[in-house]
Amino acid sequence: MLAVRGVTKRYGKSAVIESASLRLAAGEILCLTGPSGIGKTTLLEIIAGIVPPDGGTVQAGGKIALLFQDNALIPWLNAAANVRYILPLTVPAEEAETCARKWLGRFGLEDGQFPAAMSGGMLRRLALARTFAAARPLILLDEPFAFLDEAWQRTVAEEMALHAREGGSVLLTGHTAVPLGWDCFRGIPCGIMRVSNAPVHLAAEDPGNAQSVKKA
Amino acid sequence: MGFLPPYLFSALAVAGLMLVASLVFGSELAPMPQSVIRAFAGLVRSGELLSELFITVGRGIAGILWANAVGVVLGVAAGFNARLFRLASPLVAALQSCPPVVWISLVMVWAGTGSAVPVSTVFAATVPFVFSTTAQGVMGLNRRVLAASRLYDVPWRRILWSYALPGVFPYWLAGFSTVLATAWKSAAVAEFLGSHQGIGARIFWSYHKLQMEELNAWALVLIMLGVFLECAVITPLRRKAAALETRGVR
Repeated sequence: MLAVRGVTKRYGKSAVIESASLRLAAGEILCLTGPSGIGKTTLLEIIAGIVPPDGGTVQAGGKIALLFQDNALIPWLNAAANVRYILPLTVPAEEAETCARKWLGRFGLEDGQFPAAMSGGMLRRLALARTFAAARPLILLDEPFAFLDEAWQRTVAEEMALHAREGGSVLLTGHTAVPLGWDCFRGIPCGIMRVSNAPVHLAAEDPGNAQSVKKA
Repeated sequence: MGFLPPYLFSALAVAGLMLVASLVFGSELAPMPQSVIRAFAGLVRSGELLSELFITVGRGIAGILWANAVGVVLGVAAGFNARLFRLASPLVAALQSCPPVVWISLVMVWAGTGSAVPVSTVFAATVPFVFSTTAQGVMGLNRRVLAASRLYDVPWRRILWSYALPGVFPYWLAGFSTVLATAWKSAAVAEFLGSHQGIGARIFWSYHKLQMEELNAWALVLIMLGVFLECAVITPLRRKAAALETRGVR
């Protein structure tokens, strides 16, 4: 589903990511953990094709959806329109409306709400609804649990687990990988890659920074 | 009708000043308010007011349309290209600070007198505002939303209509209110110096023939046009632009 090999990214002379490699198969979930500012977001943006890498390769076996760290919502579109915005033109209007309503409902939001009137948690849920509504096999989630209370964190976790069970893959970032220990992930191959040093040096084969796969 | 007293006060103050000026300089040089109003009524009755007003407003609109056609295109290009914006900034600042008389004299040399002078002057005076506000609007667009649009293969028409244009519109609108305020003044000055028609030209001819009642009546028309634009168009546009900008609060 996803193979990242030796990806390097520099801003000026300082390297943000140095030779990062990881693999993610269909039905797997992988969490990159580590402190802020260490390059996790940059790595996701490189994988999504938003930021070009200075070296290395990214191979994705399908289309990608990304939850942006800053949500990247359109302030003057209401919640439903924000979700519909990313749906292909080939989706009929009625179907797009139903899809938007379904995902907004799943994340406890109403169609007509505008981003300007939403709290940080609601904005996060709207961005998550849009990401899952894209229905793409590989989902990249940048800090999906940020601004959410535990009940909503569990909803997000359930959606991730469901996506993996349906054959999709999820690569997420977070300060902690605790939610991966929740029951909803039982039976799903979940990996954690801890990043403690900048520049990010990730390698599944590296014993000091291994992609430990938990198979419950 | 709560807005009337301040306007009534201003009108009475102007009438009072005219009265004092008339007493000091004599009614031949500074006509009494009632003479000016009679001259104004005469212009209305003869249809001159309407025809000259159409000419001046038409030239103003033509200049504004040209300025928008050029300024928006260049502004969008500069908004997406920071280097181009940096390169163009000193030139735009120079154009913004350039007095209309520079353009008027140049266009009079190149194109003679006529509509070309006021239209070109309005164009030159307003195009820097259109350019810079459009560029700022484009630069104000969230690059992450544009990145998301590319990631999800959102068609460019949807990006344009649902995101880019509504995002740039409040900036353009704020600039457009300044453009309107500048346009009618520039048009009148350009007509005064380089045209045979229009309100500015009529002021020139009244001054030339020392027809003080008519001169004051045309000045009154120009002031009324300015007040009308300010109250009926510019202020509502600025309010609308401010309201649209607050949509972006996250």
